[in-house]
Amino acid sequence: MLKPKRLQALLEQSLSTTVSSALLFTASGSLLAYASKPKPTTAAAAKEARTQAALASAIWQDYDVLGRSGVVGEVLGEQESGSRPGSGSSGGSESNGIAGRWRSVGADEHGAGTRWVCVEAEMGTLMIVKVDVDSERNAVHEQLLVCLIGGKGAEEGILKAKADGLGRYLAEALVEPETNGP
Amino acid sequence: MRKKVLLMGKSGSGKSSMRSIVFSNYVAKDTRRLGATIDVEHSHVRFLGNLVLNLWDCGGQDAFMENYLASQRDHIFRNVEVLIYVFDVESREFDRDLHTYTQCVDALAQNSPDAQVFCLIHKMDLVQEEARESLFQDRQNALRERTRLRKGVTCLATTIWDETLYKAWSSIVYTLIPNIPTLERHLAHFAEIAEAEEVVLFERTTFLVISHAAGAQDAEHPDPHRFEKISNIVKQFKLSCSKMQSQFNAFELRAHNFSAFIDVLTPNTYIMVVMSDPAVQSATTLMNIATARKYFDKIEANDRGSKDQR
Repeated sequence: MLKPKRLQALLEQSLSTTVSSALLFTASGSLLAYASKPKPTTAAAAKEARTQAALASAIWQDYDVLGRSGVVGEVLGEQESGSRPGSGSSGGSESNGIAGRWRSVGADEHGAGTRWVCVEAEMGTLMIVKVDVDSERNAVHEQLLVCLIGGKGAEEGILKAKADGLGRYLAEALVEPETNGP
Repeated sequence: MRKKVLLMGKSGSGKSSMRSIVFSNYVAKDTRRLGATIDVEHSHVRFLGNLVLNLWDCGGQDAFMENYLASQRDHIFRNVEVLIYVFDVESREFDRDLHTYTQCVDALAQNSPDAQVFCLIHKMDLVQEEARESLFQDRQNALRERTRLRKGVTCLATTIWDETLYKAWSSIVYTLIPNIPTLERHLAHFAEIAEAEEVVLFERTTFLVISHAAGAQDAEHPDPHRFEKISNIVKQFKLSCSKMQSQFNAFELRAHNFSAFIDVLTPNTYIMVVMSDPAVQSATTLMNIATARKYFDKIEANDRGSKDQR
């Protein structure tokens, strides 16, 4: 189950001078929690966050399809397909991430979809990362995504590292406890 | 599990009307077309899936009452879990009603000594508001005196025109549900994790409140009658949905300082979650309800399993 206050506190920790927003949402676009600077108190800020979540999930879904079919490379004009197995750690991330000029996509090892999408736009950067919960033990039976929105000075590396950290923490927290009965 | 519930009282006191509203989706106005009940009307009401309320709506005319107390005595009064006796508050022969009531309670004490008795002082809408409390107290004292049963008697003032009907029937049915402490514990746990202001569990068809839990709160809630009011309101809404040929499934209300969600929890219950922090997104609460669904289903299945073994 999701504890709203704790989720928000967690997302707030990712914020900094360059990272202006952090969102947690489902792959279908429903916003679960958000944090942004300056601290939002209005309904308008909530509405904006919901719009951002909807757009981010739409972007994600487009690339997720490509990640699953393994033809990312072709679409982006590369020779190799994106489904070659490779580790997701920082050393090997370029081997299964195809960096385009303005977008990069990391494909999953088993061809099971995309792992992260980064969009560099004029006014800032969007980093969307999949929260990788073991599907059998997933307490929240839906694909969750984390999105960090960085301003002009944000570097892709820092954003990716923060988003990964967030994703890993959530993946552990959202695993169902092994109990025999309620 | 079958539980026998007797519904008795003088002719015209309102027994069939109450039964129709609570269990048969009648609206208060529809009860006008109900006629006198002839002899006993049996209805088997499925409640919470595995509980069957064997409701004996006994006709209140003198001829029938004499019959019940004489020739059909054992048949009627044996194996009873709950006796609901309805008094019409406007009756001019309260002493005579009391006498008949005492006879019924005696018959009950002989045949089902462990039964629970509820006395509903009905049609309270016909009494002046200022006089209601004192009149109810008078009746209650008289009844308490006359009921010599192990479990005593519980008196409730009711009318079909407001939520007191739901309060009374919720209290009655609450005593019949076997695993209430477990349900309440889990509900409280859910309320704590989901950071909800209040969580209420309703039965699926009748919308009677089974149980409720509150999250961490400082003050007592100002309205102790909110549950039956909600039962009443949501049930009316559900009925109006079915009049439009659509099924009521779930409900989400977002106001500027709170949000409320009513959704199916198990095949036999609805849950209502009230969140007081408007910053919490709807999707989060709905997801929490979805997660809780599995656990409550498991509880219900466990109970059903253990009952089948008995």
